[in-house]
Amino acid sequence: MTDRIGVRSIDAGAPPARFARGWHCLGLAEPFRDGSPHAIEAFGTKLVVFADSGGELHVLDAYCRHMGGDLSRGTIKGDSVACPFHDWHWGPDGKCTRIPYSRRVPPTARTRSWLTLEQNRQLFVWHDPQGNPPPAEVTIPRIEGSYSDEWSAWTWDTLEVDANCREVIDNVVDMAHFFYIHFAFPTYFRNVFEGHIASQYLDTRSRPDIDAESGRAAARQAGARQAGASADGNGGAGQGEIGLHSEAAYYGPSYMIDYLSYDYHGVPMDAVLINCHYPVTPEKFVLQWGVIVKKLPGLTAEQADKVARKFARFVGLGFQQDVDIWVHKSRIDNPLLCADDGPVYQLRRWYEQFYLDVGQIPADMVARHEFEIDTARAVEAWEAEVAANMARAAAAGDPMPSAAATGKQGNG
Amino acid sequence: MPDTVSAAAQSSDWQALPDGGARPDERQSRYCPVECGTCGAVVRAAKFSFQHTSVQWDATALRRCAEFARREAAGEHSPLIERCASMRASLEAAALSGDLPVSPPWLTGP
Repeated sequence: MTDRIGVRSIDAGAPPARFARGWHCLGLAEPFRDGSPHAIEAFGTKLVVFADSGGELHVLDAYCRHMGGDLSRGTIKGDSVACPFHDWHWGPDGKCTRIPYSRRVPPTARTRSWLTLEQNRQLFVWHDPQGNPPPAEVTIPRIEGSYSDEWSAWTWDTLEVDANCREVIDNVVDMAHFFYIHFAFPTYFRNVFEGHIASQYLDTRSRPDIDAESGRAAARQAGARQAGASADGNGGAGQGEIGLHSEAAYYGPSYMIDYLSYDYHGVPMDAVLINCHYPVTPEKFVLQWGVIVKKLPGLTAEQADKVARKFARFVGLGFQQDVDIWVHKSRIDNPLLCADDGPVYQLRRWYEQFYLDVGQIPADMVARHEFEIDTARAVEAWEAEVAANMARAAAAGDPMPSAAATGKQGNG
Repeated sequence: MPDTVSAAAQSSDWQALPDGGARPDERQSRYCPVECGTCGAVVRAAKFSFQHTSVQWDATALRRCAEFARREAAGEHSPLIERCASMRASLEAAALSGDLPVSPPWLTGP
């Protein structure tokens, strides 16, 4: 992909017109049970989520098939959602159950209902352009911690992103951006793709030149934090000497479960991070993340929730930096890789399965692929950069500029 | 100029093997067959360095792998198994013996 004078060209391509096949998380389930219908813009249309009289959640197309009214602005009546325009009632299966002002319901009065799943206290919808039901093997696995008193409650955050959702998928293999964007220092990085699952095994240690809470350089405070951090119940990564082992996997095109184990100054800490999204249009998606942490001995439920919220804020900081990259970058179908990058092309080939009809997926697209990065060169370069940052800060006697600026110094 | 895919097809032989292989990028490397010393499963592998490993399995190898079979029987799911220890040992042995070349990828240039 070079022209005659050897300049590399970017092939920006175009986002796929269709949306991925798979279970997509719409958020925590409980908030949908507040007695009102809820609007979700997804898959190029608008959906309505509502709870029936038994509390079970249902998802229908939001636009009423009568005159196009928006059911998400209507009312729940019994087990149906009623349109605000002419009060047509629509049941969980998409059938019109009642038209109060009419003698009978037209036999064709049926709208699209979406298959739903509740797992891990979250709500999922199944999207398949072919209209097939979900195979059992692609179901969302249960996270035991989400049902246990020994774990905190879920935090939940969302961010609307004006980019195609492939950008967030690329992170699975992007070892180097963890240093520049997420204030982490990867020392081990391995990917496995097989079937509908893409995994990432990652060890990181914290960057002593960055304060995880603020994203700012923190060389001067590092020593103090190391001494006092375990006392403040702080679950944020990236401070002092915090070791992290992460095992993350996408189950299908959009739902990642990340099991995290910290060595927090000798105290083991466990957390689960959900990183998921659903597409709104080919050029927009909603990014969501949630955190639970295992309660340390002696921690109350409130304290554990606080630790989870603190960690979620830290994750959010990283995502906001991701988003800042995504909304300004070019889509690129032909990334130019160096020897120490991850398997971007292989990941994208794995991801492509969700955009093909089931019968069109070649065997090699979903065959097991393993890729382990040699982090030696990266670790050497980053150790030098961190040391230089700390020395500069110590010499200046002042906190340094923001983390983004710090990263760029090393990068450029 | 040829695109990266056709360049890969010309410069390596692994695409001709059953089940194709991973989608190539411009980090061209020769994927060599490596047989597991424990169960005889054959994968194709490339090593850019001793720490780096890229391994392509196919359905036959996956079925043959004794460790995956044992762990699946115990309730695990192969996509969530980080690696097969025997295959890792065989890959290391192949790298040390020279059967599996350890060399940085050849980066296709203009």
